[in-house]
Amino acid sequence: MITIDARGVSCPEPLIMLKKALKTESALVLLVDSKNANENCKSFATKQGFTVNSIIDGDTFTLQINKKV
Amino acid sequence: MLDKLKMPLAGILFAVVSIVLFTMGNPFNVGLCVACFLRDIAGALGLHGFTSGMYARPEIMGLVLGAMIISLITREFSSKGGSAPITRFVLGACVVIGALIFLGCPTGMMLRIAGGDFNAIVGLFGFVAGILVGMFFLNKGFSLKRAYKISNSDGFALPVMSVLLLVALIFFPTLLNFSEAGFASFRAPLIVSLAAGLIMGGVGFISRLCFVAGIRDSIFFKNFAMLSAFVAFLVVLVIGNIIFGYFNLGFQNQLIAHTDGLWNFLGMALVGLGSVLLGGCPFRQLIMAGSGNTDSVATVFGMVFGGMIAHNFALASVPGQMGANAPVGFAIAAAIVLTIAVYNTFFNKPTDKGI
Repeated sequence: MITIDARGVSCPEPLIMLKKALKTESALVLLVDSKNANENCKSFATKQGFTVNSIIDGDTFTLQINKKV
Repeated sequence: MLDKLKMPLAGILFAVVSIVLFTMGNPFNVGLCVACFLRDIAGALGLHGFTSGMYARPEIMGLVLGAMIISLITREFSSKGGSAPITRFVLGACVVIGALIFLGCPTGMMLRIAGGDFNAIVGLFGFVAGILVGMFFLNKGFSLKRAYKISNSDGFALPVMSVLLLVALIFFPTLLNFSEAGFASFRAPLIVSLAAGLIMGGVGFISRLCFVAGIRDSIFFKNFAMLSAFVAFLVVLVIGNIIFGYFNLGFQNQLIAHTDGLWNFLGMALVGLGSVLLGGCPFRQLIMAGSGNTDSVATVFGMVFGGMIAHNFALASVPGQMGANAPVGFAIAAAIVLTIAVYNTFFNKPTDKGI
């Protein structure tokens, strides 16, 4: 399973990184460090048919994204 | 339910605040234009000699401080920086040069559209075109690389400067320049302007309103939430303009405008492209700057600098007339922005350390 580190990059780069990765991956971990990126990525992945589990630790949101079965 | 209504409500509130501002004295078709107001601050500080553009607009300080206050309350204030600040400074300057060729940033453009100004609709087409070009680069891998956590003395610098500028404006006004005629002589009472800025700073932070994101997210991510804010904003403003007798449909006889379609289009295209590369429109940059993002502070300083050179080198338009050097200035600014875009898309790849 791949991990994408999208912490610190400007909007909408986390979303673009996620969008590209979801084309080939069925499960991945995404790291972001803003509430905005967390919400946007969560909503995008959910709409694409993935389940998202987001955990916050300090400044980092860890999103575990898996294809719905 | 409330979550779904958040964006349209933010748009409605922004429209109401704008209506209050121009009915109480601000220039009517640009109630709260970030580019124009930063240019006015440059003039108040003596950075240019454009006598119609000198006033330390309290709305701008209010936006920064409103965003700071709410981000502190929600514990989201975070001092960050280091994502190509000088490149962002340059992009910010170029965005304002484009905006002053058109006569309005995206906020000003929407306000002009709501006033019935067809020239601003031409500007909107340019803005969308610029966003599409910017998204081409982003999809190909454009990045100004990541920001890191930095000292709070950096993160709080702009809010402190905003307070100092307010103190100067209220208690030591002779330190600053004030327009006696023209655009910046139209001003709502200080307390109203400051309150409007504070409210919109807070609302802007909570809703993450961004004029670039409204269009970008609709086209590329099929996410229409942000766009709904702008539709609400436009509808309420059109109604407000009609009620207060400011609605004037057409290309001619618009207050803060010129009728050169090509330059209205190109000016806003430059704003769209530059804003997408920066990750947000000028309004959003101010909000982020208030919540500790020093890369956005660099952008804001760049925008003030852009306002200065736009007027000192006759690039900026004035109502009814293009700046004498606008085409040359535009060509240079566009070349700079495109060079930054190409370099950071195709040549500045991450190293094996990921930076």
